[in-house]
Amino acid sequence: MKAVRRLFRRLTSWVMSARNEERLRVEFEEHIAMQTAENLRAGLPPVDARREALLKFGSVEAIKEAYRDQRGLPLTETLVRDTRHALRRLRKAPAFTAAALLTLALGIGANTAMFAVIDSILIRPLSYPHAEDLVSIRHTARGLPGLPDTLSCSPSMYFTYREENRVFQQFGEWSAAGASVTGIAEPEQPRALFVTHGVLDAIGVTPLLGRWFSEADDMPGSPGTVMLTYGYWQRRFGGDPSVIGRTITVDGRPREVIGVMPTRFNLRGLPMDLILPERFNLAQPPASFCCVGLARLKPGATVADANTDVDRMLPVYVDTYMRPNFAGADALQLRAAVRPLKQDVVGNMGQRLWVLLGSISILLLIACANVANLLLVRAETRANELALRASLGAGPGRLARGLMVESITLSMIGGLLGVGFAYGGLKALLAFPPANLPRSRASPVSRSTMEAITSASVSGDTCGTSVWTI
Amino acid sequence: MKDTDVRQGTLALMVLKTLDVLGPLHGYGIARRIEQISGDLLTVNQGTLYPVLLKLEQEGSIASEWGASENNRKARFYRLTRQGRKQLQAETRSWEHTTAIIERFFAMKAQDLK
Repeated sequence: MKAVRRLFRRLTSWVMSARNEERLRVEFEEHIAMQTAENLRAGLPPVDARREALLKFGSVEAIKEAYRDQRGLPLTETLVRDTRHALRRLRKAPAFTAAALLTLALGIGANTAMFAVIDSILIRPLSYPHAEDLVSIRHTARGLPGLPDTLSCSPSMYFTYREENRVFQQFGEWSAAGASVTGIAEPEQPRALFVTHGVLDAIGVTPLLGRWFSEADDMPGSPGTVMLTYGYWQRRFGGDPSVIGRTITVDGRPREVIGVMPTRFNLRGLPMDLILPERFNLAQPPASFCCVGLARLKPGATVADANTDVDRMLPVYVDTYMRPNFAGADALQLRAAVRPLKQDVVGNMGQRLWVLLGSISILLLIACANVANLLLVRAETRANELALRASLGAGPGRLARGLMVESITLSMIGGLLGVGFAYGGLKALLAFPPANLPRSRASPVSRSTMEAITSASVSGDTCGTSVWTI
Repeated sequence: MKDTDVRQGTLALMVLKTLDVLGPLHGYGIARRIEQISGDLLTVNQGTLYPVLLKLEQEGSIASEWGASENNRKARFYRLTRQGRKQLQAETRSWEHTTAIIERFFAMKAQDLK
């Protein structure tokens, strides 16, 4: 209670500091006058009387300082004063300030931009519900050295895995291709995504309008259907909701529009306009690894479980579909290589990005060292000023705080500029995304990223520079 | 005891007691009384009294207002508040308690403890 009252008093008296200062002056003057009068009565000559009174009172300035420390909010006051002083000093040395700020801004900016990219690609999950349960079904074929390590799925695997699996909630295969659309305005060649039943269900992004494909849509002989992506819907149909039920001609076949996917739906960042049902012919499945297998794991199942399960199903697949047509089926040595979908999306980019971030962090360290050196040189030239202030009664803590405030001011401004830099850099990066950067279209700068990296770099930087200055 | 050794807490207690006994006083008066009572053994660096007065006032133990001094000069008079009186009582008790303990230790002789 006492502390609260004191704080309140301090706050109010801080606001009314001018009046207090006046009161203090009057009070001191009265005190000295009374003491002088007393001394005169005691028989001292007038000059000595006043001098003795002053001596007895003690150092007026020191007492005033102690008084002020009690009265207002000394920390805030000196902080404000120090900041103002620091800004003035920085303004007076434009070359130094520009060099230091540029160094900091570049260092912090590069780190921020890099971190924003990494955050959007690696750290944030894919924008699907429960994306951690999504896996990509791949295989290795040790027996055939020419093939890639990550062999995808064949159409006949679709039937095997769909029927036999024990760990998938949904399983499907997809592939991307071109298609031609006729019958609306001008003919065009939109990019199409072919999906079997199960793919969209597994991804779990519900349609904005209409419905997903059903199992019936995969059946040969059923009426043709098609789904639109948000972009295509907007572009070709002006976002007209009555598009559901309309018929468009895709690859010479009339297809009914049954749904529109929301804007956040995408697969590996592939550009796509239409989503078409994949219709594998069970009688004559093509013997190619054409399609990408995608599944949602049952709750509690792990990637390792999925691998075990796929390894169990592979002999079934080879027996049923492969060996009859292909004598070397066993020589392929097909093995499961299921991996999280995110890894599929990010690929080996992850490691490279982290290495890049690491090296850019070192760049920031170098920037900090540079700025620290600049400050150090500056501190040398300030030796006289500091000595003077020390002899006038500034304690070492007070002097250090002044220098610290200057460093902090510098790095705060540098940090702000750095964020500006990063923002511009990311805009440029998104405008011309590198072809091999996954999810680059999905990397808006997240505010939290900015804040996190900025505070981290600023504080790191401040520590560095402050230690050097002291 | 050298004057610089007077710690703020002790000084504050002296101020409270002085005001308790003598009623409202200005800063100079308080300083003089403290000197007198201590038989000039304690010559306060008089100015240091003012930060103490401020602290006590902020804590609500004393209050102050302008008034006229004995030779008709404008002076700020400090007086004990009700809370200050309570504080003085509490601190007196705790002070007596402490001195009693210290006294016992000083009076201690080796044979007392055998």
